[in-house]
Amino acid sequence: MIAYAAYLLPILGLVSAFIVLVSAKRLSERVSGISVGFSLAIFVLALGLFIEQIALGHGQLATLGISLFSLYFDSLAALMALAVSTISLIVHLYSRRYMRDDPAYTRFFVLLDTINAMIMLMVLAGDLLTLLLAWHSIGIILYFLLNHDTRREAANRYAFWTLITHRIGDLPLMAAAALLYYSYGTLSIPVLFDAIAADPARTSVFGLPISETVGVLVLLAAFAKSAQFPFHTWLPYTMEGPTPVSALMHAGIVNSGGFLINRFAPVFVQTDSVLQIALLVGLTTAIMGSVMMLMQSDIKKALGYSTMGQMGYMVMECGLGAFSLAIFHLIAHGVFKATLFLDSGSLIARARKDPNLPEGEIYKFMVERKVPKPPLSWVVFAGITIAAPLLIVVAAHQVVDEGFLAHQGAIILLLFGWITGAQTLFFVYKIGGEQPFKLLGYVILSFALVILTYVLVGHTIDTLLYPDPAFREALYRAASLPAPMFTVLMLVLVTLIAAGWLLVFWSTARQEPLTRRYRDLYLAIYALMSREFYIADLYGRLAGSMLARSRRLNALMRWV
Amino acid sequence: MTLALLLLAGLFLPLYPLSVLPNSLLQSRLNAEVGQGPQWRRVPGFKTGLLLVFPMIGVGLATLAMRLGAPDPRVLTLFGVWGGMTSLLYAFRLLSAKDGEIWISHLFTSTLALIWIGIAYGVDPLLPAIGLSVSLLPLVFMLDQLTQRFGIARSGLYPGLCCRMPWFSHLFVLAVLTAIAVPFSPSFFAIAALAFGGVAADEVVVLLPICLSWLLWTWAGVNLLTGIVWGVPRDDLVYRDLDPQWGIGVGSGMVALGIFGILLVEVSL
Repeated sequence: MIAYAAYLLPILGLVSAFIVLVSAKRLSERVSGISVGFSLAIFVLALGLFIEQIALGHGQLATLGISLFSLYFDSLAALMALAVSTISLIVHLYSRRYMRDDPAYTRFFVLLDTINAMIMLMVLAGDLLTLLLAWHSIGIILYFLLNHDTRREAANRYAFWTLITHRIGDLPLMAAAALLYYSYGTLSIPVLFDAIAADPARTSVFGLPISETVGVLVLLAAFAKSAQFPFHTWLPYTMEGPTPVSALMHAGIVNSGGFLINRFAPVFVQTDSVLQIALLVGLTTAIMGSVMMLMQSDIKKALGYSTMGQMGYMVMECGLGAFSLAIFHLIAHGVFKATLFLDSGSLIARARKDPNLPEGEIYKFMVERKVPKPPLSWVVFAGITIAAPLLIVVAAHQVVDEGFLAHQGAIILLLFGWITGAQTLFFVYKIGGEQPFKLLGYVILSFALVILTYVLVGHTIDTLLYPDPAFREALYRAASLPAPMFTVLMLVLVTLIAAGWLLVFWSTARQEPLTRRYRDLYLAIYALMSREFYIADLYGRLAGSMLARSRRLNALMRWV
Repeated sequence: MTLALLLLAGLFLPLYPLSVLPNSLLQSRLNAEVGQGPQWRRVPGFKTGLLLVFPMIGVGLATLAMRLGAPDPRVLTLFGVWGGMTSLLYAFRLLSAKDGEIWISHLFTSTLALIWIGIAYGVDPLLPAIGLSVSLLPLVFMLDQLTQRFGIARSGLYPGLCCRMPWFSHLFVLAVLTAIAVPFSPSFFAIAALAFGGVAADEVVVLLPICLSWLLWTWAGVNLLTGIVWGVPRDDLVYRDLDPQWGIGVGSGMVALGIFGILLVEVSL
């Protein structure tokens, strides 16, 4: 029954879009009230359905008696519907005032409602064709939202890049759906997953197992939608659309990849070497996104690259077998990134009038560039930096899962938690100040709180989305590397990281930054990164060359 | 005989170089301008008829060929590959097409050539052929509206129409999207039917041309929108928007096409 009630979630969005469209002339800017009202109704319904689903536990399939438009309402769909409706409501409320006086006010709300309906349809899709429809539609509608200012050439150019990248991501999903339909003879997602579990050994292209082929295709589709390297260029550049669109895109649409990988978890659980691709690509994207974020002076572009880094982390979590953690990550990231984007406009406006930077240690360090003498021996501080975060992350994981060290994925995530904590403590050391130990205490306490919350909520979502412990184990197993390789990899990584920290502490204590010592190398890397590894330039050249060749070919063939 | 019929069908379900015939017929204005064709070929009714009748004749001839005697599977695969390559060739050429008639003719050839993949791998070609050809009709009408207003339907000559002709622009966007097989258009479902039905026989030969052509159509469609709908409008032109009632009529027609697409996929899969 609740699966049938879930039909209302996309339908209400479409009804809202239609009413806004037909009432625009009569109600003028008040039409946004209709859109906000419907968003609120969708949120309340999604919340109610989520509570019902928790009580029910298992998934339900609802169909209309045709092969299209069936819905599969399980814990994943319920959680995602709630997250989507929350972000949508925030964006709607914000847009009401933000978009006032915009000549394309009505079109904006019609498109906003439609794209939300399509995202909802995607997370609820119960068959492959409906999933494809929704997946394709999101890219198309986003193109028009980003092209909101129809006169701006830049808006048009970046909307095009967004659409074409999304289209590149549509194609592997289409191929995956076709292969699954051919192999198992059904479009229904839950029926398909049962069939795969019963007979996972079927083969497809070049005799490869179907699960491996489909797994790679699904990953490619997810990479394009979630701005993974090398499909990332569209994300940081799409700041030409209105701020609410940026918020919706960075908080919602870009998360589609994480959802898709989770939806196809029953396929990935049958794979041997596919999730490692996700790990590699996610890791590369996380590092590139984070590094390029640090190089931006434009707040919105910095947020764009931050999203790229976060999406990389989310995909990497999937690559480690921590599927549910990726869902937690995308929801948490969605909420904080929407808030950051929506606040960025007013922040820029306020900063123009008054920078409002409190004078203190951070001000001296960041603005005046005065580097104080480090508070105590670098050896002692380096010891605290390396040991304290490690103890916290290990203890927090121990609280929820005593056997977590048996999972390779958990160990790598633990490693990332450790690096993040150590980075924060290093910053405390670097800025110095009058009361370094007080600050250090606050940082360690905050870090412990964040890690404990992360682990506890992550564990709760894990048991909600994948209640079967055997399935969770199987996911970790599918993401595992051969034990000797993993041990060597971890040893190399830990040694490199620890040596890196020691080197950084040592050079800071000697007041001789590494960037000065290896200046030429530093400048070469800086130049490379400031051009964003020339990837956007490469795509531009490639597109230009293809158009020129097409023109030449047409002239040669006399246009017939 | 079978081979001859299949080759004859290649004139109507265009296979390069046989595709020159439908392309020349569809590029009537250009031919008429250089004195190579009669003026009546400029009428949209002629193009509509051609877009609807040609695929039917092609499907009929191909079906007849199959009924007369089952051709060698290798021959059929050859026709499938030939169709796929024709589709890719015209999709690639579509990227630089700016004239409306060239655009329609190249897209017609690129889409309908994919039917050969269905024929080669046992997918009933009739419904996909209908789905692909009817999806082009709204764009034929919209391009004709442009010709009536500006004397020529050509991308880049009068950009920014969305600011001056909103009714036209909305419908033009929908027509382009329908033509390039975005979701809810019959062509989307036709493509899905071909891919889902044909993949069993040969994944690479079926999926590669379909996916690549589809990607190129999107690129070309966006180029067309960029040169006509988006941008800064010129001040030296007189703009005349569509009559809203006419617009509602065309919009309803597109909704009907969407419903037809859903029926198409229901029957095909």
